Amino acid sequence: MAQLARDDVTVDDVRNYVEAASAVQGMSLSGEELERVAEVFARNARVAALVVGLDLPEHQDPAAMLRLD
Amino acid sequence: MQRALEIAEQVRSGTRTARDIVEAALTRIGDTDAAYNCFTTVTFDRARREAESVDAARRAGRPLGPLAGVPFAVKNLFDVEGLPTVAGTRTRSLSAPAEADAALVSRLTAAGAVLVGTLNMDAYAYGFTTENTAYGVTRNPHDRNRIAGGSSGGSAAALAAGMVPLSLGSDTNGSIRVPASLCGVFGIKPTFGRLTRTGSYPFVANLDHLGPFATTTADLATAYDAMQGPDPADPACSRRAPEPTTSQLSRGLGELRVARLVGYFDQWASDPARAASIKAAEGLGAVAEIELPEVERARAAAFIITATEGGTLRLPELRSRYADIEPHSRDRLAAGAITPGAWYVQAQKLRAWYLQKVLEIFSRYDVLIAPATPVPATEIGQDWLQLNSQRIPLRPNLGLFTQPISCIGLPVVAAPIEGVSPLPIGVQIIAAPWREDLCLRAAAHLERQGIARARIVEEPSA
Repeated sequence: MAQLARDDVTVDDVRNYVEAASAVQGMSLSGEELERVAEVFARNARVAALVVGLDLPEHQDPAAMLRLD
Repeated sequence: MQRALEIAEQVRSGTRTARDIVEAALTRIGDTDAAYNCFTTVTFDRARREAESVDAARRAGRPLGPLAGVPFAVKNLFDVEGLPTVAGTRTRSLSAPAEADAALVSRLTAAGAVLVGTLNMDAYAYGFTTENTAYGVTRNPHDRNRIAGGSSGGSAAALAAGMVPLSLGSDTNGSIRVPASLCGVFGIKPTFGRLTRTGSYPFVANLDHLGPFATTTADLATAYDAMQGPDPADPACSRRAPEPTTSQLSRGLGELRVARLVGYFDQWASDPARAASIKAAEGLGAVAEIELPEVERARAAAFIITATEGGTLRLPELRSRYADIEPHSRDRLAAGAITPGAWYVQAQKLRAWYLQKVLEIFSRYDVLIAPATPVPATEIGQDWLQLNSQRIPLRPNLGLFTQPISCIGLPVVAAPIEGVSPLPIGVQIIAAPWREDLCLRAAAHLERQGIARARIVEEPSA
């Protein structure tokens, strides 16, 4: 399966993931609700493409932002 | 409604009593709030009790605080003793009443201010419009058919409608700066960690900030100063001692080096937003136009962090009460709760990297100017926006210009700019971490020049 963080990802691409991940998180959603969540998730995945598309140093600390002092 | 410092001076001098001022505020709220729907609770008894306490202190010759007798109200995600903290949601309306006030409410009260009520917001603070299904939409005092902005919409609109001179809101991605811009008032989003969040309902722990709204920079700085100081109960709150700003306001520009943010910020700005940014920059003698590096990716990182943390925090309701969750939010919360961990970690790394890049810019410039919102207030119920030759969803994109700034915790004053649009619109005055004094100095300079000014509506619009 292709990774989902892409700027061309579609609702069809994410539907299976959304259904499985919602179940993993214990959310019991109707078919209609799952479809709406899949639409949002696809939009999020297109945004995530910008995030994962930037090469960062391997040692970049993800917690560094917590220390502005 | 008078300015906060005028009120405090009258109370200190005995020209008016705090009780008289609070009664006038309660009357104003009673007469006008139906037109705007800013308040979700009016705390009549408490307000009268606190006002009488201020008056008693004066009669006894005890020292009065800098905000003596000033009526204020808070976004309804702040704990207020005796009230449920609803955070704009139906699901929390039956929760147990708060046992104590939020820390910032306590600090303003200790400074003499008098709480008169709680204010409407987007559910869970997840929105930019204050179109709240459970509590109704908050209307913009400058045009009741338009949004007040959000998520602290009630906090900004209550000032613009002249009901209170001071309010508190929260800002995760722009929720102080967006409504301040659309309602034409001042707001400050301090450095991440500057003001304690104890006793406020969380949304995104990594991005949540609290701050005040006011109608002048002097009022804003006074309220901000009164709330500074460490608090071990909030692990994100800095241990720095208070760094007062009110004495800085009259210093003028001095040697401040100001730059206007262009590129992304000009590209997505409507004509009024761009004009506001240019006018403010000219008023501050800006010496350069610069671009932030990878600003679109930084905004994307804020978006992913918000979705993930916001959704994860709401998992109990998503599992058990999906149908009761605000319809504008629930699908976004559910989608956020299933975000892959790798996206979230990369987003955190990205903003840490981006912070370092932006800090390099602050070695050359002291203050950066950008629009606060891409457009003035839009119509209630509007779903789409035409910007940059593209049709984009309105609700998430009102934060286009605020998210890339708050995701790295920089201090920002939102200042309303005069003479660029029939409806209000504001700019962001941005500085390096812990330099709120510079933001406020620059805002005060614009205010003295007549470039920045709050717009207060005397009578409800049609």
